[in-house]
Amino acid sequence: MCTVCGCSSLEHGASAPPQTIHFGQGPAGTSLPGVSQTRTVTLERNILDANNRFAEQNRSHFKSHGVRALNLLSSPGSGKTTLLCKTLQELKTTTPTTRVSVIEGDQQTSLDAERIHATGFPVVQVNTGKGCHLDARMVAEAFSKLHSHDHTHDLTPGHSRGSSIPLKSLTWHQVRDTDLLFIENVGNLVCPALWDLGEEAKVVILSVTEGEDKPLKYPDMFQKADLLLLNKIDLLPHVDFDPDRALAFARRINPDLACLQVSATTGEGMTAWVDWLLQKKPSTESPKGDPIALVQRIEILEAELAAARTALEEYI
Amino acid sequence: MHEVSLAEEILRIVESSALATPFSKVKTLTLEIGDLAGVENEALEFALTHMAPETLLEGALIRLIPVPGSGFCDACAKRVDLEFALSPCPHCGQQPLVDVKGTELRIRDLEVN
Repeated sequence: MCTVCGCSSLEHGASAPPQTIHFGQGPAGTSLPGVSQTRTVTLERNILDANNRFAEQNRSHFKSHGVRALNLLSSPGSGKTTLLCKTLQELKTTTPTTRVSVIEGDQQTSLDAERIHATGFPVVQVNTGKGCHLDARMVAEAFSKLHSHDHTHDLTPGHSRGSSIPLKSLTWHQVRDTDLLFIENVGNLVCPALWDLGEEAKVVILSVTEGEDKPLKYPDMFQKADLLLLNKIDLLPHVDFDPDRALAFARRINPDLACLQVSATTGEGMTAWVDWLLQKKPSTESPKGDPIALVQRIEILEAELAAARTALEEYI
Repeated sequence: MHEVSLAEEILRIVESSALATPFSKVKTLTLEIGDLAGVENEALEFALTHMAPETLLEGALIRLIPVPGSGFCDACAKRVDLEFALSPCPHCGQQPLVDVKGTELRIRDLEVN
């Protein structure tokens, strides 16, 4: 008789394989009474993470090129493209050395890019198809086309130009290809507000043929904007639109919002707008007390120096 | 309409997290969507539901947790409700407020098996 349990087998316990019940083999890796094998994956992730990473890359890329990128936003029909064409003409006259390029965003057609192209400035059209906004990745691709990146390129945003790079390769970018980059977003006062493109400033354009209360109806766009451009002010005598009231509404959303009034048709207010564009250009002075800006400034100056040396070598 | 793009981003994040910690099905997707984030919750839910078939999100319960707009006012020494993210304190007018909540667009967690 078995001495373990009293059964008839003489060998009980000696040869039977040990049985195992594993409570940690379910998807949860553990087991609690009354709890199913469902497990929780904690993500805590910002839904726009991927876009924001591209935007930060764009931002450092623009900075390393000495480019001030501006995101132009409005509803369809506010006169964005006409205003942009007029701005380009003004810039050509007042500061011919300022290099300007344009990224045009529309769902379909290259009609706007053709209008910009006619002004003689470099432009890339981005068609979003069914998309209602530009995203940072689209802008990255368009910017790379604008800068004729046909050279060997480390593709690192910001292209840190370390000392390991031979001097000659520093002529890559011809440095300062562009001083201003206008990104004309898809005409839409809602969706583009959420997508950071890596721009330095968002400029929202509101025309006087629209309602004064648009800032209250589309608060997200006006909250994110750095400058409000009130366009088509030549039409003020013909429409029931109070600019002060519109601005008061906008400042209820965004108390520090700057505002300029312009007319692309008559040119009124264009000087102030161009001044705003140029005044906020990255300073050519060496920035003080900002190590990152200093490093970037040194990189730009070193690249300029290398380009000048290469140019000089051609004469020697 | 940008809710469709957000739904695509959510699906992409879910798929990439399935690569890191394998799972075959999402039972519950929990999102935190701030009231001041500029997102229409119903549109986002609609977009997710229509995108779900034949993905990891097929049949998943979508839980949208709204986060009300609020900010902390130093002068009043308390948290106050906000109509817009940059609004001043509705009690004393101080602006800007700190620790503003309500602009969240987050995936909090997934219940998977």
